[in-house]
Amino acid sequence: MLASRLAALDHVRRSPRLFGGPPGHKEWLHLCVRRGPLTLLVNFSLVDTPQAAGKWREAARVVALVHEGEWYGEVLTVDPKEVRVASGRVDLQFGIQFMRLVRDELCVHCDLPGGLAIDLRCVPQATPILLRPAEGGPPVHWVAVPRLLASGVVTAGGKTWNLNEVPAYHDHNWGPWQWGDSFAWQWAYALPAARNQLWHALFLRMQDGGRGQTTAQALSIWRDGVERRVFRDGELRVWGEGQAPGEWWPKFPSVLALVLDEATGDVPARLCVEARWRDDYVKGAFSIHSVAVLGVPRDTDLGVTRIHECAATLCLDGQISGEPLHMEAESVVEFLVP
Amino acid sequence: MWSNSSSPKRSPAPRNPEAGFGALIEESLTALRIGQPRAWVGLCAALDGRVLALTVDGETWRVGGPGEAVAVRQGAGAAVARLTTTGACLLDLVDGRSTLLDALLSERMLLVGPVDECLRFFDAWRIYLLGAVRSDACAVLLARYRATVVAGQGGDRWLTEKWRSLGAASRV
Repeated sequence: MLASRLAALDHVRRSPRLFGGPPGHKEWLHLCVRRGPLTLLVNFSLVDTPQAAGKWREAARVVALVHEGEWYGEVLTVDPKEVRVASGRVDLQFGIQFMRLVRDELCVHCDLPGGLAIDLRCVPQATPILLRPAEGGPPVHWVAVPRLLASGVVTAGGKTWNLNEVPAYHDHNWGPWQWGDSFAWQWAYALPAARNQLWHALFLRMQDGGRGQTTAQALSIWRDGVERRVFRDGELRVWGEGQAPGEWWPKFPSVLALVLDEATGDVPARLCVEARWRDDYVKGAFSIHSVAVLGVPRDTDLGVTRIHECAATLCLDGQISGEPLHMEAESVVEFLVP
Repeated sequence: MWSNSSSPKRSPAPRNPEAGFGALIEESLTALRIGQPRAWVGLCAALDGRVLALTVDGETWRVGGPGEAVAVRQGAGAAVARLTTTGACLLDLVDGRSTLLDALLSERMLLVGPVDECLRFFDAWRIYLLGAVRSDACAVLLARYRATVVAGQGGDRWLTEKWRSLGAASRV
């Protein structure tokens, strides 16, 4: 049931440019796993990239980040001849890497340079949701599965992690925009490690490039795979406190460490949230434990958009539909700075 | 003889059959000029007609020239700033195993010249890298160069000897 709904929503769209439409399409499928000190992010992307003389090409990339004590990462650009994408399905084959929905499992396989390997099967445990772009913000479409159970093996930095039904998160974004356009986002999910803790959460805030104006924000509270409350815009207050740990954050692809200035003020130590709608309320904070910077070359100029990927935890208390809520959850938080 | 990478007829075919640093820098500049014109124009503007000398694993190449006719020339000669390093050090930087500061402080990389010219060198290098990370052709060239260095053509022993001969007074 969940897998069939996911199949209906999550299929790869591809760039309209390939079918005679406008260029500028961005699209990726994303998977995150947290288990204790381990954080894993995998991203398969198909991105229209500007070339000389007004031409565009579709760049296919696999990004994988693994954190346990230190960050390991690879950004692999795949030869277009080795890219196969099944129409109308969740099925991407980038060289020997793949992400595909097989029956009721999202299967991910990567064997990347530097000994970073991922082999996971993820079973959806929550209803997939489709979110359309908010007015005034970038045209980012979003399919999210806030909870899956991931099993398999991850290898990085000479270490191996065997995962057995570990909480995971999957989403899929697409739309026409340019890296370097004036927008920023903050995004997070949180899933408890303990199977008997049923509350989980999803957070998004879209801002202008200067991060002075919020165009949309939402905190979505889930219980056992079902969305129970969404606090939107004025129902929600969000603020940062302090500065995330680390005087130096690892950067991927690693060559960007030579050109990116340190900007450790861009990520707070705590991202605090407070929300109320009628008798429902929550209050808590995402605490940032470790940060890695993913650099994306801007389309608009020679600069680099920074995506800060953070291993975090969420502590949240409140009440939803008369039921007390207390959540201590593992989380991944992302801060995009144009 | 200057090999002018702004010549539109020049193909990015390897000049150096061993795919060494000279081939990397020459062909990557050609790739930027053809495929990343924004980076190419920025690089030429940063150099502003000056010539920089790059000595990698004992071989010297000079990069520079007037306007957008920036070109690569093999051999020693006049230059406003000189970088001396090894292929192994360059790959350590590219792969994140070393920072620029570490490379300079550990004397695996020497940068010699007036401070303003060294800063200009850094600006040009930064723009070059920002163009190169956008270029599929540069990724292929780097992979080829990596294979050359890993095969044993690069090493730090030569640099140690070079550093001794330079003496501490000329370091930046």
